[in-house]
Amino acid sequence: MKEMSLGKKRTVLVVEDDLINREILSAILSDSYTVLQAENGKAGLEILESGGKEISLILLDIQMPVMNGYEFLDAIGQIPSFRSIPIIITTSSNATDDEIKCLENGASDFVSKPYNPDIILRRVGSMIRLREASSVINRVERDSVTGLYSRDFFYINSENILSASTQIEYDIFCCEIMSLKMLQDRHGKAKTEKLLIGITKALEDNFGSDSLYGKLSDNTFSVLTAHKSKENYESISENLRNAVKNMSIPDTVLHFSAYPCVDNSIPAPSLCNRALTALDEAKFQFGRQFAEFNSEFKDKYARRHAILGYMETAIKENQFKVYYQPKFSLGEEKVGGAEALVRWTHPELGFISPGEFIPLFESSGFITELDFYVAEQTCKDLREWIDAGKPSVPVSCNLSRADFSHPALAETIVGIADKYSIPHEMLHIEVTESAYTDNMQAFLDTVQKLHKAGFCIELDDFGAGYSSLTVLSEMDIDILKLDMYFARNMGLPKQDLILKHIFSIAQKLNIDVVAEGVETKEQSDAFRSMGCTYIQGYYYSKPLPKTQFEEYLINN
Amino acid sequence: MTVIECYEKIGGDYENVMSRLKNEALVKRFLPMFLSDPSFRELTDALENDDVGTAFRAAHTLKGVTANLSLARLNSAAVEITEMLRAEELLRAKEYFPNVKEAYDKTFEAIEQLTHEMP
Repeated sequence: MKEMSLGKKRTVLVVEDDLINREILSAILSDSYTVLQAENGKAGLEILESGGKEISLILLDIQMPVMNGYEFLDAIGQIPSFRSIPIIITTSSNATDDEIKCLENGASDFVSKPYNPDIILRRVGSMIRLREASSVINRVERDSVTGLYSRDFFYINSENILSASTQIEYDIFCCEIMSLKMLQDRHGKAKTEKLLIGITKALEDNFGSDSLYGKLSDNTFSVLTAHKSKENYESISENLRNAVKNMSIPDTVLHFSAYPCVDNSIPAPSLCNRALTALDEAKFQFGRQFAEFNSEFKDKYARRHAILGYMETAIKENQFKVYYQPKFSLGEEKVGGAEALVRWTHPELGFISPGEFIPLFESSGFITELDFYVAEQTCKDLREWIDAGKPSVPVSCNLSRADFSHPALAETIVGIADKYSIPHEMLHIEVTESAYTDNMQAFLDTVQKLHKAGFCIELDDFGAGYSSLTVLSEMDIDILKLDMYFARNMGLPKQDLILKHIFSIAQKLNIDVVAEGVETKEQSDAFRSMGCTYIQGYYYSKPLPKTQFEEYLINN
Repeated sequence: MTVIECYEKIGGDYENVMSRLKNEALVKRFLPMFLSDPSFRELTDALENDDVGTAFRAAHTLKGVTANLSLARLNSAAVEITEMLRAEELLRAKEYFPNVKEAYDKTFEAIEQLTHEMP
């Protein structure tokens, strides 16, 4: 990771018609990047096509003569090798509709005029890091297991079909396998591949030979097919679920979505994104197996846009507040620690749930800045408590999976703790397993550095999704945090057996265990009898704002 | 004339431009470029030709440039006329145009003077 960011200078393309704006951007960027300039979309496209330099990111103005920003986005969407280049739109702040339209058409983010160098450098840097860390090369035509078109080739073929037909209306249908990595871990590669082939066949049985099939990612299938009714899709979904029951892994869970009557003026990646947006809806509503993209999702784009637009000011105006949720130590019968959690109340939008803004910030890269902010606030508060002689306990701060593409993550955390002279054992770091699966080596290295520097490492959400016991032996973990799933399902015989084993392994490895999401005395007692070290949850306390947490510490 | 005096004279926001660009040398480098920026002339021509599309784009560019250089007074006039043109209200925009021109002329004159006095 480090070599990557300290190595060769990356190239950024600025597409903007006005010379002064272009020069200002270049002046801002040229210390850190090689900057190429184009005075309109057409000139920008020519630079890309000449292929002289590999472009890491494009800053794009919308209002330009000859070829404007939309036409440029559209043109770039047609060319597979350019699609993965992140694009940041430069706008004047009050044209919200334009910005939403750009996000929908493949842009990743936007910055507004007047340019603020700090913001621009940060956004450009994090966007490039994020893309390089997660870049998946998708240049083969066909998926090797299923023989279906790979993502980019599905896009191209879809666009060809859509532009050639004016008569027929088309839909995009998506099918996603839940927790594929976990299935692979449990059942092995051969059975998983059989499953993928089985699903491919089932799709072809249902949609027939005049539909186009693709594989959008490891676990997502896509179909371009002539328009069908919602009832029709619901029965197809039912068929597919039944078909899976006779396959190599019968308990596989599938989710389905469709974007009906696609708008063929927008590029295929955006069409698929709309279908995938609907898929999330199907996933997060229990018992629902199929969802359609409709006009309500437009509002979601608008809200997403608003949240991304407010984030910079929110951090400047201290709208983000740090709350502390106590961890009750069962051995000592008192508060033994706390987790720092971020809360956001926006002056106009009101309370915004972390479940809503954190995934957005993770995809824009802003989460890293927010995580650093929370760590800093926490250290400030700890320093205040220590200086005032108030009671204090070690506090854990979260690092998102997206943070691990930051080249100096461990150093930054050490820097923040040392700025406030916080003894390192007072600050714990929570990481999730998902970060481990993204980029194993960078993750393990950073965790090791932090551990060596004296911070306690807590592994968060253990047991949710793709959990592997091997991570316990490979990583320097001090504390294991059980996902709230375990508290909710307390008493199920199979689960209790699994829990007992987790506790016995943890004991042997000398790892403390925190049970999260504990809401009742029964749950707390059950964890206690298994040898749990800490309990976190509403049964003891909800997350508290600073002053209330201080009172809670005095009383407990 | 110093850069601060120039900004005062034309109703610019010196503090804002410095808070963003951090050093005055950069401001001094960009200000003279404004003298050859074509967006105002394009706006003038397009309004004369009743070409709403081009006028909108030119006004929009003028708005962006003046925001970047914190030429506040001219910027607010550019913002006004951009919105009129976005709504395709050509007549209103033409009526409003003298305000833009006045602010532009003042700005141009001051920057020109500043540029001549530069070593």
